[in-house]
Amino acid sequence: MKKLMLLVAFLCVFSFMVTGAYAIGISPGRIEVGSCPTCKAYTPGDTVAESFKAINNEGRDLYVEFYASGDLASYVKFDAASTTLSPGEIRPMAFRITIPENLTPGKHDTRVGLVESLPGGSGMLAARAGVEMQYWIYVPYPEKYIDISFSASSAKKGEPVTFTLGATNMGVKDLSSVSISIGIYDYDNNLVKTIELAGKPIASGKSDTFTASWTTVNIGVYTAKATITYDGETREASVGFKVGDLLLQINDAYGSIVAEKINKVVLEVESMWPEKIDGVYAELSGIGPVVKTDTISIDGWGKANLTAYVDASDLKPGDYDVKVTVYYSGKTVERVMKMSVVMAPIAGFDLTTIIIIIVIALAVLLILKKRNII
Amino acid sequence: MVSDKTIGALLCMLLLTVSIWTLALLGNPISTGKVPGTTVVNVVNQTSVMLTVSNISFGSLRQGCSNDTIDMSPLPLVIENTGSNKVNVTINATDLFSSAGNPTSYYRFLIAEASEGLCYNGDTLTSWTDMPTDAAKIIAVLNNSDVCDSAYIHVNVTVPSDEPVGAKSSTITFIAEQS
Repeated sequence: MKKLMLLVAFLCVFSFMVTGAYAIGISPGRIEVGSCPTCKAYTPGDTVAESFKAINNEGRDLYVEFYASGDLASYVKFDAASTTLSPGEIRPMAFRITIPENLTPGKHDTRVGLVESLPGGSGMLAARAGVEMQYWIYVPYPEKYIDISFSASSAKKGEPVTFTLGATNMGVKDLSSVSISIGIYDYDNNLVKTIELAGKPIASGKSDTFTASWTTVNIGVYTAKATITYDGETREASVGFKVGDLLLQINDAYGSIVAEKINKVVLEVESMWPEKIDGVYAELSGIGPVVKTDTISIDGWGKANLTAYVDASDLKPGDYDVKVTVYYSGKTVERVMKMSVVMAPIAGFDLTTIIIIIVIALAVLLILKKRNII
Repeated sequence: MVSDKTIGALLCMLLLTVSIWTLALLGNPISTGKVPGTTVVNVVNQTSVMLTVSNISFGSLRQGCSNDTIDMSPLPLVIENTGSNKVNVTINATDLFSSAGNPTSYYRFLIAEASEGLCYNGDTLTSWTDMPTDAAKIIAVLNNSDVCDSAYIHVNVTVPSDEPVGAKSSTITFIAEQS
């Protein structure tokens, strides 16, 4: 028994060694240069000495190659093209980047990375991992320029919706006053509320955050449009959000119901609630015996399908008014939907085939009559 | 009347108080029981990934035949985020077949949940996609939490009908970046 356990242990280890565990890392994950609050100084024309840590997280030597890609790849020089990292080693690696003098304003994305080197050709699919550090240069705009991010949180009715607007001065000049106006529009694009936020100065390369909140009991889909005014210039941003209630709506029904058969019918339901709703099911009545669907969960603001199997064994072709009742969280929602039961095709023939057969039969009859055979 | 014992006790207390003040003035403060010190916390900004399964062997396949890792035989590739940053991952690969270079429907991949569940966001490629030659983003925002930080990379191969016989190899490269 002991020998067997040793053998099993050996096989597990062997199996693990075969599949391998190749871990590789780089630190930091990102360096930012230029006009942003966390940026290092932007020095066009200079050759900057930078470094990163190359990390080998596994228990064997790791042969890695260094590379640069992206906007300024040709301006990056490494001290070494490759190296071997010892097990568990974290090695500082130096590189130099020459910042061109004529870069256009805005973001320039360069990557510096290391990737494991593998021998090729082994009759299998071999994977290797690499990691890269983002080297982002934000070249300042020569005049006034503001970069904005705008978001709104969806909420339950009666609870506040929070608007957050981040503003970064990406220009070389300080902004004496940045003010925000937020217009809230309903689904039909009617303005329902305007929120004015007091102006603030933002220095070159600095950021500030503006927040506001709004509460309503009217559920629906809204759009918030922010107008940012700074030193006589304006920029706009918009974002959609929802105000919800514990409601489900029945969107549509799919599937054809054929007489004398059991038919699959799918009901699409949509949640107007920000949280997941469990235990949702529906009943269909008015089309034979009452049919119950499966029971499902719907994610917040999500859509999902309920499936029912309608037994049309005793149903005649025609239109039926079907009452769909959806049950959820102790509540119900109803909708009467028109559903059609169609005639079952003759076994082995579809409608097109039947029409073709009738046309051919009529043509044959016509020919026979013309020749006085019948 | 004050006894000699009381005077002695008062003298002792006075001497003790003077001694404490003297020690304090000489720079030897009295310990309060709370030991002052400095706690160093290193928050490492690290982008790091591990391929916990890093190769696939489909064995022998005839021309026109297919195999994939969906049935977990052989196992799919598994990538795990072992760093402190959430990451995006790209893929590219060398040609597998000489008669059908990448990207080709004879050599495809998709991303799927690993045993830990869904650890990435919706911009991830979760349907069969031809293997690219140039790096293409396949996983968006792979989590860095210990409980959910992995994803499967399933591979599907179909041997082209005009592919010469012999061993076929391809190197798949995954590159991770901070998301």
